[in-house]
Amino acid sequence: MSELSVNMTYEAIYSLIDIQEIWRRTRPQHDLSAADKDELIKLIAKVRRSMDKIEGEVL
Amino acid sequence: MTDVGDRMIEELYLNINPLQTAGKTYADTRKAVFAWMDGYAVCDACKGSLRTMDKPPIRAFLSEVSDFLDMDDAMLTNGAREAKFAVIHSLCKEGDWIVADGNAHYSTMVAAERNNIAVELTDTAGHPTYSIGPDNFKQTIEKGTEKHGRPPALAILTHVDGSYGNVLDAKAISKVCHGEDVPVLLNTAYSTGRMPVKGKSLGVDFMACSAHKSWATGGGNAGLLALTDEYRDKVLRFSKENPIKPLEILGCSTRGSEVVALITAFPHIKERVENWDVEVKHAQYAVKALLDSGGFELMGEQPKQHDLIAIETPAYDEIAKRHKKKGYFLAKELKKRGIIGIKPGRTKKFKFSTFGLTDEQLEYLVKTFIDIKNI
Repeated sequence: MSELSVNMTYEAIYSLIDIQEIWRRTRPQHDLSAADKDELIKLIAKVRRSMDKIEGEVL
Repeated sequence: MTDVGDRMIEELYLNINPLQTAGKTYADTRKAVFAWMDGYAVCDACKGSLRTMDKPPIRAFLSEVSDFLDMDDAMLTNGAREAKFAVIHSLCKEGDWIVADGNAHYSTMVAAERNNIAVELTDTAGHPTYSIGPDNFKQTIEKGTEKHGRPPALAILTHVDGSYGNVLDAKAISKVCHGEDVPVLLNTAYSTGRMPVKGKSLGVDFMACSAHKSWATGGGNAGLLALTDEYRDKVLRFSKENPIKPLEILGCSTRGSEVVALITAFPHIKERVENWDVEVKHAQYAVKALLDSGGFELMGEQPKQHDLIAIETPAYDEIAKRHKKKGYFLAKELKKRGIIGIKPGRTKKFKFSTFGLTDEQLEYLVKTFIDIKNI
């Protein structure tokens, strides 16, 4: 059972939903503030970390 | 995979469709729905009835939401129309009739029709305000009582109508109805979830709420029926054969991820109704800027008390007469500038909503509307 991988799948999806929220918040011009960019960088890193853990556990 | 098409509207455009602005979900809700979207997932820990479920915390939610609405109890429905249907079905018998405001939504009419109950609509002040007051109800109750040989069994008030965004004086109208011993149902599809509404303070007996329209719940099948103690036994009555199942919602209503969506949206709802004054200011700002620029006329009452704005747009209609895309030019120009939600082809009049816009987005919207007059 790869509970970690399942957890990481959810974590990645939730982080992507948070990224989606940035697009929604800044529509239609998507002029990202410095704070938006910082948040985006952290969320992208979180998605990458989750993917790495899945890769490490399962593959 | 069957291709149903991508939407991406809420990420790419300012969507000003009044039907959709307050049903837009928060990230918390989209995460919760993702986890709970499988069939009957909310029934993992079922105790026999949706309303008594503790995981997810539906029982606690219903108690809290009753307090939030200043009512005594609440039940989950599939929408405001189903809530109206349940009350009509519980209170009215053959030959009864209902009084409703002249700006009532069609779903009030079909909820009555499905119950074989006649509806008498009040007059309105007509163009341009379409106002309705306590006197309109008094007159319609008198005329209808003469016509049907009995007083109405129920009054249904559209708190905020979907055509002009007028806010009814529910307190004064309830007083008139109660003076004639007529119970009052407040249709809050465009009010609760957006603005603070306290049912018992307004003197109403029932509140029908639309979660997908005004409670940031998304989807299209979640609502609430809130009621007072006086009518609890009449409406929230249970099956004889299945005594844990409320009859009017056929046992369990919104038995899927929709209820999880509503529960997760609720903290945001409680927070956002506290900012209603900002929403009203935004609507008033947009109306003033457009009227001051010329070529626009407001339909509905002034000053605006709600985010739903209906305007006549002779300025656009003039352009449509000479434009190669005719009436479709407006929707195309708006879309080009990242704005959608106006029905394509309409240039004489339309409605839009400023709900949930930031100051910057509002400014952009108003500027765009004015700029398009000069193309």
